[in-house]
Amino acid sequence: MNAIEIKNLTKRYGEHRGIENVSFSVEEGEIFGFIGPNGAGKSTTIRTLLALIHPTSGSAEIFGRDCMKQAAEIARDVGYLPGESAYYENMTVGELVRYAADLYGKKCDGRIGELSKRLNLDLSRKIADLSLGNKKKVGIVCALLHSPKLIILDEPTSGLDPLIQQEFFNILKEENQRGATIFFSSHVLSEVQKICDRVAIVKEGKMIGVQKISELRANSHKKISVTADDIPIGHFNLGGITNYQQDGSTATFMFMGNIADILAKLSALNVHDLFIEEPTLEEVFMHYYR
Amino acid sequence: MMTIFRYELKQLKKNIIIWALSMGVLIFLMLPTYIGFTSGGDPLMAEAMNNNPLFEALGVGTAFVMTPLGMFSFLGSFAMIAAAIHGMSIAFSSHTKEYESKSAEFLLTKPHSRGEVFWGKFFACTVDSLLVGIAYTAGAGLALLTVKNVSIDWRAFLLIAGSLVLVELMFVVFGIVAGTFFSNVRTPVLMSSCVMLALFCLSTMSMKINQPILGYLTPFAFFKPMNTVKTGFYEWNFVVWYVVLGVGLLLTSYRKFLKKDVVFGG
Repeated sequence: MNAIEIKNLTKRYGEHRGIENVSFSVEEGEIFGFIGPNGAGKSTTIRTLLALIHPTSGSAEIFGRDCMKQAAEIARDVGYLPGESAYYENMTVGELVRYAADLYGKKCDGRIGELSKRLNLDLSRKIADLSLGNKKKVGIVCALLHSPKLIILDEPTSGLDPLIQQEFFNILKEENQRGATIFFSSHVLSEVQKICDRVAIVKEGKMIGVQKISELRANSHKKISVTADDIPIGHFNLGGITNYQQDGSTATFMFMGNIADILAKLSALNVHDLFIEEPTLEEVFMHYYR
Repeated sequence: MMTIFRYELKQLKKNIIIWALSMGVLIFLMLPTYIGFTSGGDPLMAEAMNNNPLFEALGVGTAFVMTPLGMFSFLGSFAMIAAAIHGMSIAFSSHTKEYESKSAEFLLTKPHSRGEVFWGKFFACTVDSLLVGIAYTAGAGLALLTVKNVSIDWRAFLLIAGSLVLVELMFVVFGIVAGTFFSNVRTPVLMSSCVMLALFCLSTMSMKINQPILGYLTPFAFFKPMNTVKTGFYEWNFVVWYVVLGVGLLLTSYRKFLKKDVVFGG
């Protein structure tokens, strides 16, 4: 059974676009990335999964249960970290997380203590006095305190400092090892690259595709920079080469294709220096967004 | 539902204490003082009260105001204004606060149905209003006990005091309706005051121009104290209308709440 199954999910806000025919599935136990720029429809998809908004058409299921009709039952197994962490300002952090635990009907004092210690979160402070990053930490504790089977994270690292981010990723890996499925939405691609097994790309409300991170990189361009004694004009006249630039004895270009072809071309030169770089996911991503 | 009800009530704790004390203490202090004015036999006071259109507009005749229960009803019509604002604003805010603080996502993604959230909020506001009403009734009852040489019809007293609670509860329902349909409103107290004022004016107008049909549109005109004292109960047509209106509005908001999209600032 898939943890998440979305079929032709569409949400329109009157004249405004939300999402259109979004379909994908997330297997149990995987860490699934959901990437796209701001306004692409990531949060709309997540909010539909959580029954915060109702779809215009299509269906969404979590653990085989209908997201709209069985929202309350589904919520028992789901931990959700919203993109914008906002809570009751007049409560203290401790009161809020205990309220969250009460809503789940669980005693989670040990887990709350452990998570707040790891994230360096002071439970005695008022929510109103917290910075954006600390509010995010509160959201993380609320999302994880009941050890959910599915963790849905919407832009989870915004506002967190790098040390806490690292600790947060460690916690997520531990949750995943415990068996939790993680659905991770972000526009910061390097963090998706760090942790996810597969990734779905969404653009202007529509799905571009779903790929394994490793395949995404394998099927993408290599960034090559070569310095040689003499590079004849048209030497790299090969299919799969783009963005070719030559400045004297240095040529830089992007290449997608059989790497042996490019090595054959390089071996014909008296090479002084050579860089063959993996493109960052940002570059791969930009390829989709051109 | 109990968890949400309990936390909502906890958030209303200060509000309950302040309003219950204010309403109870004010009516306790004011009622004997005003009864003293009217029972003093001052001819100037009697002349000022005779044929005063204010009493007519509030649905209490001059002769009735001269009695302790009449004066209680007269003061009660002003207390009702406060109670209406209180009832509507707490119910309205119980929904708008989730949007203003953007905590709706926190609450609605927990393992409780939207129905449980809706009723949890409604019952917390109802309990708040009942406690304020009880404090008001207790304050007024104690005040009447201090008035010497008069006999009080305690059944009529409870019915008149109960009408304030019933009007307040109807405004709780109005607040729930407003909060469900206009969740992104940032000024629920101001809006509640405006609604109360409009309905209060409508009530006084219906009395002044003698158009009882208008009275069905405003809870202030549902329970007329003079008739209550005369007949020993509320008017049945208004009781039935009160129940139909209250239940109808609640169910309409409930259905809306189940289906609505949580969109901030929309």
